[in-house]
Order: sequence, then structure tokens, then C-alpha cells
Amino acid sequence: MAANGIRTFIASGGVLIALTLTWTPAWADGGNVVVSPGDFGGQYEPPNINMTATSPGSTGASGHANPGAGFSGSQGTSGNAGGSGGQAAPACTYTPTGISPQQLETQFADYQAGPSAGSGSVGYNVTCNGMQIGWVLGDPGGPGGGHGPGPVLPSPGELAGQAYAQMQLPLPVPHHSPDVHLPDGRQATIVDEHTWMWTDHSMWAPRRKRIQTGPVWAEVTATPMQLTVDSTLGAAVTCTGPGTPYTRASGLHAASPDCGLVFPRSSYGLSGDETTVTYAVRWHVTWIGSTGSDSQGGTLPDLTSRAAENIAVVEIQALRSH
Amino acid sequence: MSITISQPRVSAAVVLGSVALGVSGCGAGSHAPAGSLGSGAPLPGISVPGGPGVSPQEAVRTTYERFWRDTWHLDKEVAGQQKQVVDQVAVEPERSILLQGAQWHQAQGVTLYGDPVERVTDVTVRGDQATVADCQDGSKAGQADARSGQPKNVGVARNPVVATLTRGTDGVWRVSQIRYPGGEC
Repeated sequence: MAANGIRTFIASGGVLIALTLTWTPAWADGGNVVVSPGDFGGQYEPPNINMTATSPGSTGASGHANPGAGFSGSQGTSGNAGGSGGQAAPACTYTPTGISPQQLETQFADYQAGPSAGSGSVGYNVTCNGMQIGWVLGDPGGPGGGHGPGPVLPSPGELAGQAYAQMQLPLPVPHHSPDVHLPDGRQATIVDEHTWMWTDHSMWAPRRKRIQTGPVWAEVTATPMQLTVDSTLGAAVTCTGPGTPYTRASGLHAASPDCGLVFPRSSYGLSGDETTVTYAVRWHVTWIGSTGSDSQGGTLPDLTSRAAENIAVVEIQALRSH
Repeated sequence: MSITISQPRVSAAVVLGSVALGVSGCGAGSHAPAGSLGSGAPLPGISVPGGPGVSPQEAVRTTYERFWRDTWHLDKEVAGQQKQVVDQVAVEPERSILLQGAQWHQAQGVTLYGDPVERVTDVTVRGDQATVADCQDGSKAGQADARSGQPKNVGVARNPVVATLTRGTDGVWRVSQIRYPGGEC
């Protein structure tokens, strides 16, 4: 009974005495026995495992090669191994079953614990938090092979897709010159004058997002390619860079070297007597990644970040009249 | 001013046609149904295994408890015997899940140790379907390595279980599904 614990609580000056015997089996001494809610016998409810893998550090899966001891990782779960929702993902290990995939799929169909992946040529016994829950099919070479069963590890392309979806790009910060402040507080530029357009240069730099799961990783890079400035007055320009900020050193009436507009008429009569100018930055997106042994990469659809401002376009006479 | 009060009319046929019996109990071995029908009073038209003195709730509860007693150590039976045991207490889809699970454990060197203890908290019978709510004690049972006997895991002391039972054409109740809804009980 060395492993049995006895706890005694005395409350209210001994009026209430609660004696709790905590039965702890002797075999728990080694610390390898885990407490499992749900189907702790593993033979009454089919396994229900969410095999979707995401990046380490967030909800979902992580995994790492465990040389000489099979492949281990963690994954989101529900049902057998997880009990109620909201629990931490269990630690799972994968060992070859020694049973052919065909036999697994026919004789033990109810105990498939996840989708097949890769070649699906090897059946792995899935044990999560010490409890055997079922099998999955994956590539050969789990222990020491650097791959592990496929269902645990996403492909680099899948990770790239996740990184692409999670990427947050900066918005352009509109600037223009001339930048006249009208008496009523509105910003304005001048009809038939060279108007320089640019965005903050600080946003004009590549952005990267990297996701790694075990040995598999992907890094997505978005590179700003062009700035398009479009006005509801009909004027538009596409620039290959962020535009050049105007300085007095450029002189009066000079055109922007790379990103300017000339508004042929005033915005008088438009909504609010202003025109809406949209700044759109197009980002070229590429990705590189690795399975841990093989490099991969490619391109992804371009992304665009946009910002807009309303400005008035006024005749120079109008300014003089004020 | 006159007020007319109409007495509701209750049709016995309607009551019997939509019979739904709720029984509350607590603790393993509690066999005294607290439902309005009382024990030992089977309804006309409802076939009850075990003789006329056994209510549907009692029959369901007895089957459910036997189910666990007979199937927990299924992996220790030979394959042919497993089917005989399971056919007595389970029907599809639970039947296949159980048989596959026991054979899967045998193939992978896993056995089950201890015994879960049922605490049936509710039995509901609707025609040939019944539901049992159980707050099972699994704290002294779980998976173990078949060769060494070393336990791999252990259940929790209050483990919610919901079982669905079906009454066959032979009038015998059998378990058709075991669910673990999670949470606490």
C-alpha cells in the first residue's frame, strides 16, 4: 500500500472530519499510465481524430522525428483520446502495425484513425497519450527515416497555403503633392498641375511568413511589385515603385520621375466636390519549402493591398479667390 | 356570466402509442425505477424478456450491465467465441466495432484490465429503442500491455456514457451504440 495516499481534512474545530483515501495503483509508480476520458478501453467507439496539421505554437499539430523510437507528434483531437473539447492536443506515437494496408482496411475498417497519406503503403498503430486508438496509413520509413506517417505531416505546399492565408500585408499610406489645404480643411491638388503620388516607403519591402511542422516547412514571400493610383476623375497611373516623395529641390511644376498624375479638370460637382483616389499595391507571392529532405517551391496568386483618400481638385483661380 | 370548464380527455391508445418511460436512478445496483409506471408492471403490448415481472426499464438496465460485464474482456476470448459473446448483447453497428476492437487489440498486443463500474442515471424506453445514461467509473480499468500486464492508461472516475439499445424480433434488448459525449457527470 505504499502507493496509496491518505488525506485528512479537519474543519470547524474538528466538527467535520473528512477522510479521503486516494487509491493509487502500484503500477502508476512509473508515471507512464495516463488518465483517459471517453473510450478508455478503445474498443467501444470508433476513433475520431482530426488529422489537420497546423504550425507549432498554435492549435493543431506539431511533430518531430524521434530517432529510434518511432515517430511522435501531437494533433487536434476529439472523441476517443480527447474527451471533451478544448483540451490540449495529445502526444501521439506511431509504430508499424505489421499488418498490410489491405488487411487493415478490410478487417479493422472501424479503427482507421485518420486519412491515408503519401503512398499509404505502411500501416501505423496510433497511440495517443499512452492509449492505443487505431491505425493510419502513411509512407514507409517512419523511425529514423525522417518522414514518419504521412497523415501527421502536411506537405510543404499545404503549409505554404496556410502561410499565404495568414499573411498580413501593410496598406499603402497615400501622399500627394501639391497638397493644398483649403479654408474648409479639405486637402486638394490643382487642375493641370503635375501631382506627385507616392506611398510611405517603409511599407515597400518584402513580407515573409514561415510555418514549420517538424521537419516540414514553408516560407511565403510577398514582394511589392507596383503601385496603381486611380482616381474617380478618370486619371490613373501604374508605377513600378512606391513613388517619389516631392521635395522643393525638384522645383515647381516638375513632373514626378516615376509616379504622377495630371488631373484635367476640377472635382467640382462630384460627391463632396472631391475625387476618391485609390492606391493599390500589388504583391507578387512566391514560396519555398522542404519536406525535410526535398526542396520545393512555387508561386501563389498575387495579392493586393489598397487604401484610398478623398481629395479636391481645384482651379488655381479658386485658391487665389480665397 | 357563465364559465365552462372542460375536462381534458385522455386517450389510453394515445398514451400507449407514444410510450416514453423515463427512469432515474443512482449508483450501480440501483434497480428500483422511479418512473410513474413502477416496477413489475409491463405495459400491454410491450414484450418484456425475463417474464411478466420485469419492466422494460429493468430489462434494458440488466442488458446494459451485462453488456459491459461480457464485452470488457472480449480480447481474451478466441475469435469464434467473441462472436458468440457479442451476439448475445450487441447489434450493429456496435457489434462490428466491438469485434474489430477486440481483434485489433489482440493483433497489437493490447488487453483490457480491471472492470468499469456502471452508475446508470437514466433509462428511457421509446418503443423498441432505449437510451441509457451512465456515469461510469473507469478509475480501475483501462488498456494494458498483453504480455507484461503493464497498464497503459486508466479511465476516469466519472465518465459519461450514453448507450442506445434496440429490442430485436426475439424480444431481447441489445446495445446498438456506445457514445462518450465527454464532459463530466
